[in-house]
Amino acid sequence: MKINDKIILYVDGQMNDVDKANFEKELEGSPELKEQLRRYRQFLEDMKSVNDSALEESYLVEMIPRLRGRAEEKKKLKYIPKLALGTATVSILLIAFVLSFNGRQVVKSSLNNVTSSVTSSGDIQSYTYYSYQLDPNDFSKDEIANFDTTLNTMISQELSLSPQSLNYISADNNTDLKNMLQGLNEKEADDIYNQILHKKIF
Amino acid sequence: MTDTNSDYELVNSFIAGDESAFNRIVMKYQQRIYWHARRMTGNHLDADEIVQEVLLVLYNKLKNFQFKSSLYTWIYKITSTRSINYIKKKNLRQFFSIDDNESVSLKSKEDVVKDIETKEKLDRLEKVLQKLPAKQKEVFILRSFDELSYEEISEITGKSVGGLKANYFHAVKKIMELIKDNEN
Repeated sequence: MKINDKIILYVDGQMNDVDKANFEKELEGSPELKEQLRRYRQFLEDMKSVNDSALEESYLVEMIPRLRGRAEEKKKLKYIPKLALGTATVSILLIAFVLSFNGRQVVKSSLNNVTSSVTSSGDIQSYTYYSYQLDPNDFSKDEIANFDTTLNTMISQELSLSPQSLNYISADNNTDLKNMLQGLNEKEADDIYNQILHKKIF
Repeated sequence: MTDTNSDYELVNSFIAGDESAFNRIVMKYQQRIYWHARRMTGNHLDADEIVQEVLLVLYNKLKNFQFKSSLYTWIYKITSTRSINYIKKKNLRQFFSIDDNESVSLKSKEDVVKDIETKEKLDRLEKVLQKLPAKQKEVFILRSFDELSYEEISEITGKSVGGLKANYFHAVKKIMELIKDNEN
């Protein structure tokens, strides 16, 4: 027989007086319904009968001392994550500081090496690579002038330009592009055009 | 249901620095906490773990308790939440096979209920209860064994009374079916 939902409402006290009286009448006439109710009540009684006295006394007596022990243990362990976090943070900061200090020194010294011998394409690649990481404040005026000269030499060698033509390119930033182009003679313009045309850029 | 005035005095004594007041609170509620956790988890070792966790939380948070609810409601709330979280974690561990079968069977053997007849009865009942979903089981235990009203259960679980009644209804129905199947 299917479980009668009314039993649940009846046991849980969710029926009003009329419904309750009707259900009790229904119970009288149905042995199966009575059996369902009996089984469920038995289950509840059994569960309730497994009461506090069933527990070993020693377990209850030991509960507080165990708790105190555990609380002490937790108190000690509480500082370990904080200590670990602090140590990790300090280590990271130290590593970052050392790396940034060494990094600048390496970049600067590498660049000085590049300017002293600019002949191979490997040097040019190094120069290009390091130039992205440069901060102008890291260098003196003399050093910057030295880099400019080096760069000019590199450009003139690459494009096979005369010193005069090079002046148009690297003279100074105030030179107007229009004036610069007007100053080129036809042969120079053709030279530049052909150089660019046959240059493998990438 | 409980002696609220006495709870009030005990908590205030503890806040004032009387550590023995905490011991008296533990002695007063330890069995209820244990049995709630035990019915929720279905074995002694898990229940004991929950009891220790609950008492630790109680010890750490009791100084901030402001009696916005009664102490026993608050304790039930902690126990219930911890039990459900524990069950979820356990299910997850079992899903990923972190808890092997051997440790599960060891858990079922270790117990503080020594009376054989009581233990057998408890085993039978726990088998039925463990087949309920955690939320239904929670409502069923609070309602049938702890004999709390739906309003009190609502305060503990944070659910609406209507929702709780529905959960209880499904729980009882399933239990009745399980009892019937077991007898057949």
